[in-house]
Amino acid sequence: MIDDLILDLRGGARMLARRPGFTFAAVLVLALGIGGNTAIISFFDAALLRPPEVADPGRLVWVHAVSRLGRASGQVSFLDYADLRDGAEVFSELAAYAGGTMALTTEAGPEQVNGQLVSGSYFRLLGLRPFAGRAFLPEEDVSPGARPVAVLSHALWKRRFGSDPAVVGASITLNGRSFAVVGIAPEGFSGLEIGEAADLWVPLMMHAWGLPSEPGLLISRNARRLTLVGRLAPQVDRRQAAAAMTALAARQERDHPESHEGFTLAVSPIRGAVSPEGRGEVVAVGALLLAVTGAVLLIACANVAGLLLGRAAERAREIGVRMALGASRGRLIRQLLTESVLLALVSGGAGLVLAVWGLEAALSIEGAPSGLAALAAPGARVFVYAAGISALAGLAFGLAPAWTATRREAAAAIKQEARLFGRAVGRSRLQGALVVGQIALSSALLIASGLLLRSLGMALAESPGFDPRGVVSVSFDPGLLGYGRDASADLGRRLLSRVAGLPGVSAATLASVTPLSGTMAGTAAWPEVAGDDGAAMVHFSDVWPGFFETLRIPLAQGRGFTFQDGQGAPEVAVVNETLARTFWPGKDPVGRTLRVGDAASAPLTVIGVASDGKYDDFTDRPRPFVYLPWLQRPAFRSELTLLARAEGSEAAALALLREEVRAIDAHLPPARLGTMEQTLWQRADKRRGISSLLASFGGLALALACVGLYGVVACSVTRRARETGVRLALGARPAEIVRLFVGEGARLTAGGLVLGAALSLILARMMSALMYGVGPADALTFAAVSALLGLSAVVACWLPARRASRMDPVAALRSE
Amino acid sequence: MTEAIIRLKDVEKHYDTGAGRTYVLRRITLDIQAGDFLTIMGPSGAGKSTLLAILGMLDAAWAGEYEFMGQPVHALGRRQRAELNKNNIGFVFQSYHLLDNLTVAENLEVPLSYKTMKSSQRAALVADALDRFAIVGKKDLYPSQLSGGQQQLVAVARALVGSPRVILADEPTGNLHSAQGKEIMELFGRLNEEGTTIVQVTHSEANAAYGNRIVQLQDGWIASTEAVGGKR
Repeated sequence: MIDDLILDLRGGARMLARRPGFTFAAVLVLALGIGGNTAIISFFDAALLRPPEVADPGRLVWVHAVSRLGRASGQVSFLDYADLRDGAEVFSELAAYAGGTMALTTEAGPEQVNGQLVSGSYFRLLGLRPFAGRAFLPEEDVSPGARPVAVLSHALWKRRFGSDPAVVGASITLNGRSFAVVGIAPEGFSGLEIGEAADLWVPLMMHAWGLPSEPGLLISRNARRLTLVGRLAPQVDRRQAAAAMTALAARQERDHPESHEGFTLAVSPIRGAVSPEGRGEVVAVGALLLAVTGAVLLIACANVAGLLLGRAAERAREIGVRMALGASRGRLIRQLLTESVLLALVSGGAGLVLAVWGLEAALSIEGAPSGLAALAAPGARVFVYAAGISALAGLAFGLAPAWTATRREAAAAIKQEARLFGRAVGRSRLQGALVVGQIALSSALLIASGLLLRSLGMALAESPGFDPRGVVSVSFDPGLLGYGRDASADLGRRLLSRVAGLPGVSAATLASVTPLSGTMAGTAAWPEVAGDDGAAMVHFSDVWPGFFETLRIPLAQGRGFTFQDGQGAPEVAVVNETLARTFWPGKDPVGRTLRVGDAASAPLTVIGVASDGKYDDFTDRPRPFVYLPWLQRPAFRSELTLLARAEGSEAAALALLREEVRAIDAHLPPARLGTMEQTLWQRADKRRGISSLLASFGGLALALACVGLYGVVACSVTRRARETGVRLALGARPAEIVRLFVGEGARLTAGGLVLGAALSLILARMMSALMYGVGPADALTFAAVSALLGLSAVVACWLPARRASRMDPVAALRSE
Repeated sequence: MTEAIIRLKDVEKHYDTGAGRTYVLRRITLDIQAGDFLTIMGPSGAGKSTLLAILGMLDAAWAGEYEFMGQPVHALGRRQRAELNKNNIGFVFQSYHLLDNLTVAENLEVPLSYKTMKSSQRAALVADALDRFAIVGKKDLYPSQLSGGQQQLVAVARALVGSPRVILADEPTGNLHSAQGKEIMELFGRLNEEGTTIVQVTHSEANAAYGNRIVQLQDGWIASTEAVGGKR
């Protein structure tokens, strides 16, 4: 058996080497299919499966809160962590961390960095040896505010401190406070989660300085901000740990019924670099990508199957001779499948290289999330997957041709070669069906991407409800530096008065949330006259005077906010048209009152009605929105965005704004500097990304389908050489020969397009939630894709058809 | 009297065409004894090669009865026929039909690879055949590097490597010049003397003279059967 396998492999390798053109085409087609698929699996592996590079990762677990519905909702409070740490003997160590933005000030100026507050056990539990210096000592995480120390990531140390070894032992300024750097984390380590890459770590007990905007972190059971990591104690398995956590959670629920109703805890292994609560989204995105790359791989397999079917005719004699020499059909199928699998494995190797290149290229794009480098380095599991999917693909595309090639009796097979020129053999039905399938799949992918791109175009063409042109913005968080509400209000006033006097700035304002920035705040609201039944979910933003003027949001009625709408003045609100219609249909809303956030809160008087706009996404349907005066009520977050309308150069205005923020407080790091139009462009990134990805794979599928079509027509040209010769000898014009073969391809294309349209309709209905302003049967998209595919198909058919039309009839007839 | 190794009774083959049914073979009844050297002759289209393909079990679409070493071939399935073929029959083609991407030694190994046999035994048989046909020096060459005569020699060696009871040869010298053809026919003669049953299809009277019986086909029918003395 092994000898036979070696014999088959040797024969297969020679076969591939002797037909370099065929081998190159097949390997390229398959490598693209396998490579795309492997890249996605590599992403899945790094995100969900690969253990982190820490000591004995198999003994580490996430400990996370679970909602009543059984979904991981994640984080727990510090007080719960303290109870678990002290009460659970199932862990030899339990660590906690909470991420947050921090202001790092160096000689180059202030900068926002991602910091993590970690328990003193964090680095010890992970078994990490610092690159330089040391990790935290147990005594550095005992008393609140006592030990301002920090560990820097290797990447931050390199980028911001030029890899200066003297940084260890020196002081840095974080959130305006001095911290002593005690160590540099190992190279490549940036925490346990993708997308949460930490730049530095400080002890949890320093939270008042590290996360000053969350004062309740250590004292409130409702402040569920900590992610817990445990190391299982010796002789304890995950099941026992889970049971212990369930028991502890029950005790917490009993002891703290006011905050812990339905509280449960779960334990799950640490695999991949996504915390339990983030896994759902990764799985959803990955599944979509896997489906698309799976479709491309399917097309690639159909394509190579078509090529092999074409070759099966060429190899008929060999198959026949082998049968005559005693080969059974099963033995021959095994040999042919060995060759296919060999071809697929070679392609899988090439695909793996393409996958790594593709991932590296994707991760090098500006704005790609940090901490994803692991994705581009496929692990052992990815290699096994690539080999497995390649072998499977080899069987998939090899089976039908092997079955077909060995179906005939030996005598007929041996004679086949002579017959090829003897009579016009029609193309194989299976080959035609494969091409129809490829065209159908690629047209479905192209139509899906076309519908998404059209949706994006429609959404972008609509007015967002404000005028983004000329508006520049910069965000900053006074809360990081410990500013309270009054201090922030004072800072805001001073900043606005300075900005208002800048040359080239015609209007300026501040807001807690700006439209289409990716941040939304929602709450319940009630019209004052109705009872609870009239409540509606609304979104809101706390804004400063000048907001509507700066963004040029039209006010349908009433007025916007002024500095008179401050504390002590009557409490007011501006609602949008949809909210006005929802609460007071057919009535004048100005002067009416509503309550926001709490049915028992003070009523707010509506002073104006702003026109509807887009708040969260370009594809927003009109939704109720309320603007609240920042100066009148506690804002829901400490971050503020300064918006200014520039009359001249936006770049110059931005530079001025940055200087003004620095002038107000040299430790306040400006963040997300840019124009409003840039913000909007970035907001569409996700949709643009998905559409572009689909379009790229659709384009790839189209190219593959055209190669498949070319192959079928080229095969037909070879098979019908004698017929073509006779036709030419009888006076057929070259154009008629071209029409003959193009017509054959056109019939297959038409079949593929019809099937593809049906498939697309089903697909479009499934993704209707992603579409905007375009129906699932959008005629323009269907027509454009069909035209593109049709045109490409005609070119693919025309090339071999032209060759047939230029054939020398004498040579063609002589070849018989 | 020796026992018939091949026994055909009323074997017929036809093709269905638009114009009706076209017969290629009609009521072929023929016994071939073990040790026979039978020649099938006849004009082009008489059904010679078709008859040989049926004898070699390369074709199953026919009617009638065919017994091979007492086994009813007409009642066997495809797999059983392949089994019977690979253990007892060696085929030599007019166009040699060596496998282009295999060396001489590997071509000889192909029929053995379809039998249950240890690789050491396989290697020994290939080495024997290379020796016997004096082609050891060519064992690593590919068919394209050999002359026509050398290729047919390898094809005969390949047909014989598994020690078949019967050799079926379809115009074995058709593509060779006369000296090479003579060499091959003398080889067949020696094999027949050693006990191998041979059935050949040929147009050549000279080649037919190497056998002991000639069957003439005409339009699918057996027109005559005659015994000949043999050149040996």
